[in-house]
Amino acid sequence: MATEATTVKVSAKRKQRTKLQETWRRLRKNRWAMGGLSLIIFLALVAIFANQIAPYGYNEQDYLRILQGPSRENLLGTDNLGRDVLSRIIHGSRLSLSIGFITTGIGLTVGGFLGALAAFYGGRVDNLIMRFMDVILAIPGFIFAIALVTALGPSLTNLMIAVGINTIPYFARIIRSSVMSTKENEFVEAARVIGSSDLWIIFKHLIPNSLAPILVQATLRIGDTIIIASGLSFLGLGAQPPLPEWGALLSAGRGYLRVAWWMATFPGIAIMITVLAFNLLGDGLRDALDPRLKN
Amino acid sequence: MSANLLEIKNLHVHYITDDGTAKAVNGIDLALKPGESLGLVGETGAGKTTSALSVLRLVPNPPGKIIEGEINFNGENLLKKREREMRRIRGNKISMIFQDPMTSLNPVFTVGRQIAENVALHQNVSIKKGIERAREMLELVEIPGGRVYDYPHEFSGGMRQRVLIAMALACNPALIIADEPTTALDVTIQAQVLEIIKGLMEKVKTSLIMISHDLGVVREVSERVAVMYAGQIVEVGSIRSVFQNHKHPYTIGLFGSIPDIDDRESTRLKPTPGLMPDAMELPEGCPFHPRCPEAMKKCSEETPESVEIDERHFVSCFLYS
Repeated sequence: MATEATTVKVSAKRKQRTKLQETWRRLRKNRWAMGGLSLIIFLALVAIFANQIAPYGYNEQDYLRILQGPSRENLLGTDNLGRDVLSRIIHGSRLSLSIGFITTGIGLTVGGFLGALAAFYGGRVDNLIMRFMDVILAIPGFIFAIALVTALGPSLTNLMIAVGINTIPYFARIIRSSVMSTKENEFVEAARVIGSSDLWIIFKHLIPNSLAPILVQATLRIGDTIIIASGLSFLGLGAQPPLPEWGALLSAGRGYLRVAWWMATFPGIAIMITVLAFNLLGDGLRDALDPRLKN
Repeated sequence: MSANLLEIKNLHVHYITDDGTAKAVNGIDLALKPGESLGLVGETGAGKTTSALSVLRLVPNPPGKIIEGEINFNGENLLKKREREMRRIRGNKISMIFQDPMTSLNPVFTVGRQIAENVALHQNVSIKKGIERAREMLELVEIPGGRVYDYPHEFSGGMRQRVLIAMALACNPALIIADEPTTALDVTIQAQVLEIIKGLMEKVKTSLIMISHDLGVVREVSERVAVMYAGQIVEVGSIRSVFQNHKHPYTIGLFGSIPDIDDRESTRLKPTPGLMPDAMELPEGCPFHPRCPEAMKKCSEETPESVEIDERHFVSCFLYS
């Protein structure tokens, strides 16, 4: 009797779980993904409270302490202009994280919309959009971004535009393939029968059904865009001095690698940890959202 | 005689593909009075669904194309309407119930929301108001109203089909097209769903076109029945008249394929030999003549006109002209 009662209870409880809760439950079991998520939350908090946490301003110089190694005053040392490396990394997290989110946002909205249109209308529209995406993909991402930034002039905004455009095709492809399979469902036909317009069907029925792959792709893409953006900043095509973008810090530290290893090493570690965190979470999400791997 | 709610006149629908033109619907005529229910029977590929989709102007285009004909609904020709006007009619005045309840509901929204969407789209009310209406509609199809916040996967097949019925009825349409609503369900649930459809027809006073390949289903819910073969209506009449006095050789064949529980003598069914012709290469004359046991020379040369053999009972066959 007792067991019967508990099973009833369990099924009643199960019923109230939405897909989101179900995903969360499975994600929580994945230790690596949770590690990634905690790191991301930590980084986000650091970025938000940078002004409160950082011991110095990102541009505060102390000419008496140039190229000093890690010490109690400067936990991660100082750079060639007497600025605190830790403070610069902390302030730089704002730039790097927002670059990651904004560029992925550009790719997601534009790419997502184009991909959904291509899949929904098919035929000539599909061909036109996807061939254009192929053109973007055919140019190596880095070179494409370099060309675009050179043409527009090096600045943080242009960097984000360049990297953002570069990510569009990835989202377009993912969403296209997902929409193509969902649009064959009868509920799309049913929506048409009740008089829904095409755009309504795309936004209300098709895109919500493709959310799982979009979420995974977006998480993984954030890591990638941070790497690309840092790389471009390293080449001097992104954030301009004195902005403490991580790639720019790396680039500035490069020349002093033999006398002050901490200048380049710590920003590098910051980039690595951030990208790793997003990749871990992305992989975890992919597993958690895959219904075939249930339980 | 009251005016007809729906009149289909000489409708031709073709699917134009690279491999040729499939003539799916070849000149059908149908009339439906307000509140009347009509069963549309025929084999798979006879053009039943295409005819139904034509009424809503949702024949997939390309490759489908309505070549000629008229579809008058409340005296207005639907084929002359703009897409925007059609959207206002779909779901609102004419609704449809689909075959497969498992895929006809969007898995990411609650059923209440999906019913409410239909209401909100046509009656200019908020989704919230629509949910109230959804609750009423669910009660109407005998599902507890509290379940509006449940997701489709939390319902069984029969319940989902009832949800779809509720959805179709939410705006009080004048006409409902049910496209084999019971095919995907098992027999006991079929009976239950048919019972509900029948009950609702009386309650809400809408007209119904019931598409099925099962004469038994049509008999349950319809007053009139039309038999389709290769895109044409070969026989149409009241249920009584057609069931007791079927005239067209194809209809006779259909009834011959139903096992009769009282008939202990014959141990075998009498199926019609052969297959329905390929819609891309329809035979000349009457499309049924290659399989017809009574075929005459004339049958392969001319297409028979439809003849009234009883009150509102028409047959398209040279045997009766």
